[in-house]
Amino acid sequence: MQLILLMATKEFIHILRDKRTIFLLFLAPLVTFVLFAYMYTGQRVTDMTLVIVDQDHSSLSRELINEFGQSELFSYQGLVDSYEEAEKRLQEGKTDVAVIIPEHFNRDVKDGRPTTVMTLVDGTNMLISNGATKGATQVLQTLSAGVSLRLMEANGIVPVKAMSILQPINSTIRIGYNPTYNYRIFLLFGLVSTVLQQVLLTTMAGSFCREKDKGTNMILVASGISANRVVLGKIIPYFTISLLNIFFLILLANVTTGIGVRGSGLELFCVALGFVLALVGMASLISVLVPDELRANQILLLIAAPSFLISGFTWPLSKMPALIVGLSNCLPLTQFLSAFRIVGIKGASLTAVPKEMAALYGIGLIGIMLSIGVWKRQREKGKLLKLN
Amino acid sequence: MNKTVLEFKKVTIGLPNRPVLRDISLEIKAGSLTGIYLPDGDARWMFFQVAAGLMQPLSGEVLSFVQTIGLVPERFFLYPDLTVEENIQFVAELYTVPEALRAERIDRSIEACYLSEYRKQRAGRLSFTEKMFLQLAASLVTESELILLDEATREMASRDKEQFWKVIEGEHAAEGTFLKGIIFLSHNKEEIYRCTTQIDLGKRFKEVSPCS
Repeated sequence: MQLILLMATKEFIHILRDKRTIFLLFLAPLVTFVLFAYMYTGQRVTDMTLVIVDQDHSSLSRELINEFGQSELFSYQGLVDSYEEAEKRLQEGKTDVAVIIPEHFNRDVKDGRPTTVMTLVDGTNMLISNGATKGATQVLQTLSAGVSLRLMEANGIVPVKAMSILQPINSTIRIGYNPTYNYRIFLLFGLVSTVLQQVLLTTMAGSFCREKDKGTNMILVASGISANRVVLGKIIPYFTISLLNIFFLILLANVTTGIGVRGSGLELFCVALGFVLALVGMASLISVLVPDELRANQILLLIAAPSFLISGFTWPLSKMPALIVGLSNCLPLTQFLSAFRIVGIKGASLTAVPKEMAALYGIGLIGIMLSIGVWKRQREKGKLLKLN
Repeated sequence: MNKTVLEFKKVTIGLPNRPVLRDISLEIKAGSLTGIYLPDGDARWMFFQVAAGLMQPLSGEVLSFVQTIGLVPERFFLYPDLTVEENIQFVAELYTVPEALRAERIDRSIEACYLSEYRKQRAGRLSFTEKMFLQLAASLVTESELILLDEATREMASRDKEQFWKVIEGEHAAEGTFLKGIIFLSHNKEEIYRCTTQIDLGKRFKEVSPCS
């Protein structure tokens, strides 16, 4: 135990005395957190730019324009003359949405002939096109219902009766945990966890191969210290720092951005512990296996870059091909985010995430055990030291 | 007094398909300061590792009759970001020097190696001479029974060299308290002759008989 602590203390000193490591471990997650929290200040997409082509110039078309102008989802830029001009504005990126009000709009509605208001949406940014579609539909439905109501009243149907004809079925949708479709709640933890993973992997990847590279393994080999003491000792500082980091960030998120963390403290701790354990296990194994820091970082880049994309955050896991799902399930990030969403954000208990917990702790323990085994084997084969 | 400290029996050293030293047989006796002449750098480095028990020979047997071996290779192997004191402290704890003796031994080895004024300085900022002294101090703090030096004086100015030799010869004279032998590997014949015993491994593919 004393030797494990000795190794841990030494590793702590290495971390504390290397400015780059310190910066990465402590500042990088914080900086990204602030950046992303700030980036999603809007929390959802509003103020999409809108132009209208009014080919009717009637009281009804002005009413529609007015409705669009009042919607907080849109920022009304004004009228344009023709369909072609509206399309050009969309193409050039000057406008997100264009609404085309057809000729004889007012007359057709009054005469009971079907008429169509066309909405052009720029689909290249899906966040904007989704929001625009939803917003435009809402505005048009409101207007349409209002017009129907007036028509029925004009035909002598009493308002209450008219309402029930218009809306025979009422629907209520309750969206849990993120009712306003807040983008910050959705993405922030995913991004910050990705950075946390990246930071831990990069800093820790060097810890074993650096000793080999610099020849300092010699004193460890010569002293006969056991492999498990070396590996455990080296892991402890990274483990502790990352755990602290996670808690600091969750706390910060809770206090500054009001992102609710509902899970119980102890259960959330178990999830975070599993995540850090899995990361540390993975990083130590890579570090033991590779010959130098450069190679370690190259391998980590291969893991880290796509891990966020396939973690189920950008596209649901259930819709991915089986091969990618398998790959994704091997990554600590996927399991952590899945467990964190259920336990942390939604406040379910740990029993809801047995698979994730098993995977996290499994990856961690297997990684650490393999690292110990590999280190031991390398010592026996004399591979911890450089020959020339 | 003539007990054997380290013995090589028909030892071949090298990489699996590239042996560099063949069939070496030699004995290091207790109470000796042995100079081993080996001009080839790679061969010397491998011999050093095999003698220290860090690397397996390709064939033959290396018998070591000592508990701890102190290492002073030309290439510094302690931690550059730790201070002199932290390095020695680390080595002492790593070799489980009992806590009651630790502080005193650390002080003694730092003093013996002229490192008192660099105590709080990081090892990476030390000069070559100081780094060699630091490695020597690390060997002393663990009370190594055998100290292995590889080209430890190569980059030293002649004054530093004298000072370093004075410490080595001093430790040699004090052999018996814990130290049983010193092996000095070098390509420099002049320094080999300063040792009490000389072994020539220069003719590297020939069998070398033990010198006495």
